[in-house]
Amino acid sequence: MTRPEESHLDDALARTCVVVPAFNEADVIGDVLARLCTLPCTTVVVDDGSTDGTYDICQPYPIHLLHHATNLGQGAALQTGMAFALTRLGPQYLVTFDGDGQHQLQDIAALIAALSTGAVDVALGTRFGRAADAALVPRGRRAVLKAAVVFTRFCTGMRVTDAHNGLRAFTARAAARIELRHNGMAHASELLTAIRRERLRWCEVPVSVAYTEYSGRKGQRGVGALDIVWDLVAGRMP
Amino acid sequence: MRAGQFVLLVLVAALGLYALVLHTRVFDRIVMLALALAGVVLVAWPGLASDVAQAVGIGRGADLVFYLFIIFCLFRFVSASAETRRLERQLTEVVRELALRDERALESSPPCEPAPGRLAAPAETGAAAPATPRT
Repeated sequence: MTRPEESHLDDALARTCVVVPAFNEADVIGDVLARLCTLPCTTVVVDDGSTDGTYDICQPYPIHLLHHATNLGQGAALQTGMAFALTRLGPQYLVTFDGDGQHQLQDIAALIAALSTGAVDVALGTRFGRAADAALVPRGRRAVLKAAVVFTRFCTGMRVTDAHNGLRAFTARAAARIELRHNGMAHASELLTAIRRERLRWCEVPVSVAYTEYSGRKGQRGVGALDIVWDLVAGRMP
Repeated sequence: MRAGQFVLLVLVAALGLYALVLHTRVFDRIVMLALALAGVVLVAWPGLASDVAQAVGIGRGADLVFYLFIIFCLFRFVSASAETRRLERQLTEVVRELALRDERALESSPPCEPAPGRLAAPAETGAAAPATPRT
């Protein structure tokens, strides 16, 4: 019934590990995990020191559940999850997927499909690859994101169309060469710098991001951008 | 010696001694001790700061001391930031190590079906695929 390329993709997904950083996502994490469990991939959740019971809600699901004793930031949670997956699970592909439920399952498949061609090491999700996805981005967010894109291009020299999109996929080999040292949100720019430094082949894949009232409340505020700039500048210091 | 001088001398000397007994790095203790000594000298010879300031073209002695104070504060600020960052890295390492050592994370969990009642899964297309726990 399934076409050959579909079963090929299923095979690839079965060798995929999805890393989900979660900080105080009790309202939505159960829903996110229930959706992820319908995929053949393995899921690793890193509870980044949540204080709202996120850890307990995650427990019944068939996932690997890690717990930070205190809140370190999304970059640190991703690094922990990726280190765990690489050293203990040995997947072929790694995906990062935000815990707030804004990403779509079918986009994981699209990212893995891009990687499984063998042409790239890293597939980055972009909200601005299709007009329909871009239209979903609220106007205020779009302005901030565009500024972030300009800044990111300037910092990394990579002609990306989106910055700070939490949905990405790596081959295990590529992920092993990336180490996130920025605990906060600056890890997104740091990641790109690492991709460039390690001369990894990358591409962007259109993904859609659902902007709900929840993600708007949870997501980065505009002033967060200042923190990111500060993190990057301060990070250059010894 | 005037009373004011005496009070200042005692305070500065006390600070210097306090810095000596604190268990900070030797370098920090030397710096604090040198500063305390400089303070004692400046208090004991009130005209000295002015003479030095005149010699280097800064004006009043109080200005000279004030400028040096600002430079010292900036230096401390930068080194304190670096120190904070170092501590942050160490904290990250500790927390990560704890998280990675938790063997429960490796355990295979129950299959997907019994999602907690409070946040029941929305029926995705067809039956839920069987989970693939790996150990």
